[in-house]
Amino acid sequence: MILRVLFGVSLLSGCGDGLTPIPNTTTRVGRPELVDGTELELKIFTTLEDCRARVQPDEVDLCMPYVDRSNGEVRLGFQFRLDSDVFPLPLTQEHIKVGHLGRELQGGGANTINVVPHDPVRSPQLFILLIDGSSSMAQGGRMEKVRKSLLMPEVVGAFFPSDIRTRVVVFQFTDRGPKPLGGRLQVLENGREYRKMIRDHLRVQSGYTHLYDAIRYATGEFLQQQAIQDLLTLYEMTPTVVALTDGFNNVSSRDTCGVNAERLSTLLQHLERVRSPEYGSDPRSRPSVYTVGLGRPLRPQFEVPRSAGTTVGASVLCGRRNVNRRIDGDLENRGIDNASLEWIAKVGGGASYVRQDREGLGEAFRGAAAERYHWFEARYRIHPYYLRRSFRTTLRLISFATAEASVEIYPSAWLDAPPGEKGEGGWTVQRPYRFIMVLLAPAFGMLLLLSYMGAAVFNAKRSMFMRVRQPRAPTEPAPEDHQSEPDPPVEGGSL
Amino acid sequence: MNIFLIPYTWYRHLAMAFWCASWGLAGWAGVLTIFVKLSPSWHPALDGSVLLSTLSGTIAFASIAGEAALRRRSLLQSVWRVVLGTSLAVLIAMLAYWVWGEVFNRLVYSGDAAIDAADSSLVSLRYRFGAFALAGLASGLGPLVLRKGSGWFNHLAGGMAAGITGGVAWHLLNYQGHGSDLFWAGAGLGGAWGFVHGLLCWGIPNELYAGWLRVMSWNRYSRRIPVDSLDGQPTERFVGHFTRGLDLFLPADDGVMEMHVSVAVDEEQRYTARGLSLQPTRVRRFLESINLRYDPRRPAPLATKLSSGDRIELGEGAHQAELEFVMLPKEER
Repeated sequence: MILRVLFGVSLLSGCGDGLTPIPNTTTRVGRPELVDGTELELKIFTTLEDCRARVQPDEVDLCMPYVDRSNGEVRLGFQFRLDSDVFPLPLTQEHIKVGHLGRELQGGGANTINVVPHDPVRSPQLFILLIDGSSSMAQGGRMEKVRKSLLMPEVVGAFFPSDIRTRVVVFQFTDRGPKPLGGRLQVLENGREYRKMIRDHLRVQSGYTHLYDAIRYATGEFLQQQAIQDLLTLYEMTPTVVALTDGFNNVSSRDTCGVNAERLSTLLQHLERVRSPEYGSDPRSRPSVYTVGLGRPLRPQFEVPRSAGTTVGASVLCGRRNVNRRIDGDLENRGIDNASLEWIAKVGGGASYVRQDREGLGEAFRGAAAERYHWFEARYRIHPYYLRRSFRTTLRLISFATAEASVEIYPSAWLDAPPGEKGEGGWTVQRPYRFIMVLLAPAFGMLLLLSYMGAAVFNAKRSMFMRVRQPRAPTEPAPEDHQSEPDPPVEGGSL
Repeated sequence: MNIFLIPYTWYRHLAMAFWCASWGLAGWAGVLTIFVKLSPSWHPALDGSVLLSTLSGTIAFASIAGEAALRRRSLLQSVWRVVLGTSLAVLIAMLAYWVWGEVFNRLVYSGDAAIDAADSSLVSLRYRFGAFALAGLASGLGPLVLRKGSGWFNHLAGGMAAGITGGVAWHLLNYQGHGSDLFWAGAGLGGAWGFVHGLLCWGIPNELYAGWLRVMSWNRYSRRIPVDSLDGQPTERFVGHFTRGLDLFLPADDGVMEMHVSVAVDEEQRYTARGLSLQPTRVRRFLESINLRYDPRRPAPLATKLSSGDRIELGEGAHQAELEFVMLPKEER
């Protein structure tokens, strides 16, 4: 009776905790918790029903939470929603922060973080191309490379996909500010108009490179024009700025790299403002800024500091030895300002590319016109020690918009499903449960073999050493009455 | 488990170990299948109780069912024993887990250790050691009740040792290499627990075997007689060439006297050979030869203990007969 009561109490104590077992694993997950006040809803998939409703059938396994303790890996499927609708994003791992047990994971060392996009979709976009028209573009046939890359069929196809409505506006910028290509603002509606515009009007202008001003204009004043506002609203388009340059932001011949730090800070503060909820922009109409550099990077190893905000230090931007060097005639001959481009892309919610040839530029433009994705996998690898008890994983969007959610994950403290196998990119792929037979079949076979081993060895030994002894002398057959010796309790048979 | 496939050698002590290890593995695979395929809705805090009580029950089942198979009991005779023993093991294991987790841990640990001990999601041998030991004890208690307390020390100490061994295997396999892998650890738990349980708790008893005398020489080769009586009473079997009244006849031409040798078994199933003839009589075994020729000056015949595989040589030279003493499954009669 006591046992029944104890059993009942202990079973009942497990109910109502809202934990969801993950099929094909020994892991359970709690209810995802959303952070209030964010612009987007970050939906972490935790149930099979969620996944079946939102992802392709062959990707349901990837959508479900997965913990591979032997390899120290955790995988979560998630997507963004706005007003209960899916909000596709062109997300990469730079755009999201992953937290484990309340601490933000940093890549490098034993830690690896990856974001895998799934289910690509084209969304309506207004592409604003900002092409550097400064006189340096005439050197080495740079403008020709740009023209050819912009006319590549793949690039045209990326800007004007057949299944979705997009528009393109092209500007050239010099020290006279950004000017619409062809002299007047024209919203290009198809590939034919676009090709004609690039072929007929993309030429080298003259003057310095007012890159920051051009980006500021494209993400501010230009988007505020009523006609553009109407266009964005009518087709629910997202503005995407793609800025191409071959050098440095350069306002006068006396400019040094260090001078650009303050200008860049101003631009970054502007970008942060126009992309912030306080600015009143709907995430759907929020501009993203992609930057494309044509040439060799001046600082190939540069990475935007993790803790960097919108205030830029001159030595951080230029490197200590370049702070006071002139851009005109010095730095611009050594390479392009990839540090500025990366910083702008980071704050602008886009990506930065630095390429030197036509194919590379084509790839960069295609990347800037990237597809959005319906849902994503967040994968991270840490030391398995940190998976030896339940943990909370947090996902936080750090560009495009604000979104954050977390989920408590409970791997079993006693058992694990079969460990995964290494797949492409070194990430673990979940093994089917039948892998258990790889263990059970040999184990049972071995135990069975060992069970028979005793009898087998015993009989083998007897068969080898217990043969009938050959008679050493002829013996007479036993008399008849000897054959009827008293019956033993049991006699006969052979061993 | 089949007594006919387990010869009377030292290796027989491992038979139950292999059998219980198989069931331990099967128990682990069963629990894992429930977790992975049926997605149980109980709280994670019950995982340990479910796993340990299932393994305890499975291994107890293996022990009882294995014994029933060896004794060739009928199905109806065995069912209630198997059900009762298994249920006892499961219930005791559940109760023990609860006592360990909810009572002992709370009394012993304090501070951070108390938090860790209460954290049911923590993978740790330190805070689960007692749970393994008590579950092992439970796996020995179930069969012990059915065996009416016979071999109580083996069951209790062996069961507890088995549970601890399983826990240690689980821990070591979990932390092998750099990582943590409770898949192989779980398999190690079931296998090691079952193996040690089968090895220590209940060995195959001698009463399942009987001693036989078997003719190894040319005349009457392979004739054999059991030494034990059906009722288990002490018995003595005589070998000679008398035509009447002896248990095993061997021809005089082979150097066998009228009543040459006898083999006796006492109430504790110890076997003894006695030389009853003036003719040569030897018991041979590995690196040993014992002369049992009767010495009229002695008040009693010479005798020696017999063990399976010993040979008894009667006569010598060209006229010699040879017997073998061998232990065979009693059911073979």
